[in-house]
Amino acid sequence: MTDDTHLEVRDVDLNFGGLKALDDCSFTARKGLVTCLAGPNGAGKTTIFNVITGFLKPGSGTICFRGEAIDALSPKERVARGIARTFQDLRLFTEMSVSDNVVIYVPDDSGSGPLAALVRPFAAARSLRAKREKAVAVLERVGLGHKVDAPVTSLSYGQQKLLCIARVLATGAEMLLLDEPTSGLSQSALHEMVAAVERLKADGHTLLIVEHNTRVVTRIADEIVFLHRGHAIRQGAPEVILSDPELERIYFGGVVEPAA
Amino acid sequence: MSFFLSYLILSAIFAILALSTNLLVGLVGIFSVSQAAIFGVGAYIVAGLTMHSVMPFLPALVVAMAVCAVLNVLLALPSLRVAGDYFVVTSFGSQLVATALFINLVFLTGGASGLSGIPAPEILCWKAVLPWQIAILSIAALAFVSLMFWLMMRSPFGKLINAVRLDENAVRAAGKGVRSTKLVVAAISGTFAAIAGGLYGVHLSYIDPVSFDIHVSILILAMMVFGGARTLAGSILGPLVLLALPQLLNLIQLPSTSIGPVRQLIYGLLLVLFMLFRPQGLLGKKI
Repeated sequence: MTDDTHLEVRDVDLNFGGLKALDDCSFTARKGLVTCLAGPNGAGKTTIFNVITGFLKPGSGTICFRGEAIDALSPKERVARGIARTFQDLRLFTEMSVSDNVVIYVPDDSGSGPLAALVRPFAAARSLRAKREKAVAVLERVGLGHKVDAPVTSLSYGQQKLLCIARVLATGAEMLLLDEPTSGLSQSALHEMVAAVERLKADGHTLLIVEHNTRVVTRIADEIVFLHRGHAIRQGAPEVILSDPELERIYFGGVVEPAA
Repeated sequence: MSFFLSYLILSAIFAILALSTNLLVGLVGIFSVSQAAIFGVGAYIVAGLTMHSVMPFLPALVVAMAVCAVLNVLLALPSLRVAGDYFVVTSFGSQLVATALFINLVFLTGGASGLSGIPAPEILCWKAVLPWQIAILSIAALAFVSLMFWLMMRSPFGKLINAVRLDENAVRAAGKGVRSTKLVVAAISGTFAAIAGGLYGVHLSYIDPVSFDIHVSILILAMMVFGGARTLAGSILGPLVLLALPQLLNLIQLPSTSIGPVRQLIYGLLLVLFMLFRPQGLLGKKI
């Protein structure tokens, strides 16, 4: 662990019944850098996201954020500490407007609670206005400023994915975990997404990204962690990891049975 | 005239109940069928405390609101572990237990024969004895509850309530509490039901367990669905229409023994038709 380690995953084990989803998994993410999680399907990439953000409790092992163990914290407390995540299946509030989707992710102030809503309605209205302003600012930063009042269902898939970025950005978290931000995107949407991710990095965020597209990985990653069967088998610079023939074999052929 | 006032009072009381149910079922998504039980607890507490002159109407109502808030939170606790359809079964059980208690805790509830002679409510120096006075009281209460509902829905907390129904995990990822939101909503919903209960007792000056059984829970749900879930106006319109229905039936000359079953038949038919052709209700947002 070096001084600029922002997040450390240490010896994490997790079993789903008889299946070892994470097996002695250890890696680090350095402050202000982009760390990409790579590996074949079922390697445990999303599972480790769920463990880091507190959605799943590991059987053993530790997650350290800024040098402190956060294992006992709830997902809510981890967001407050500065770790926010997106979901592979987006999980947008589909009946809400674009801005309301972001408003939910803006941290609370004294006017946000139920008591304020009932007995201090003006404070509640101010709180909502402030949250909305923050939401609009964040939406403009990801290029959705023109869609603020649109229903979520009117967005293209690429715009919906940018909205997910806007939501995590609104939390004010320093470390952002993005689960497959470019999957399923058209070429132009992919460019927009890569640009958005580069802006996040330029703004000083530490990023941990699950990504399959090697061209995207080459462009944005500072480090790659290669997961296989729940174990982080390698961590290093993209040019080293991507040119490793053994990893290539695992990625493309490791789990494929020979045809009968 | 007094018949019309009685219709107005009952509509206001059931509108308060529909708003209570709307919060819990329509907005935060806890599908409870035990709202009549909370309604009943509120009614028995206010009746008991005022009949034995322990305290006047208003403090008794505050006690009932506090107890019903806590009780509704306890009844909602299983919804944190079991979702959707499974919780309906749990809450059905809660409702049956409540009815059994209303019938059997005779020293508190008067048993199956109920409590009669509930005194007229006295608020400061104003005593609401006449039907029109009770009507004013009920409508004022409905106005208060509606204001609370409206304020809540346009606040940041109101947005969070909707978000919890739509996607709990996305709310957790936002760093917001799903459990705390659900339980706070259950508490507020409980206080609304208690207000309705207190008014119901003083309006009829008589309460019995039948007024708070599972049929009443279903009736409240039907009113909410009919008027339109998740809206303020829908919860007020639903009771106005559904409570007018029995009176309209009186216009057709039906034998008195078949009025009850025919009414249930029409309620059931309406529910089915609405589910099929207009699931969002008359004024509701599309589900």
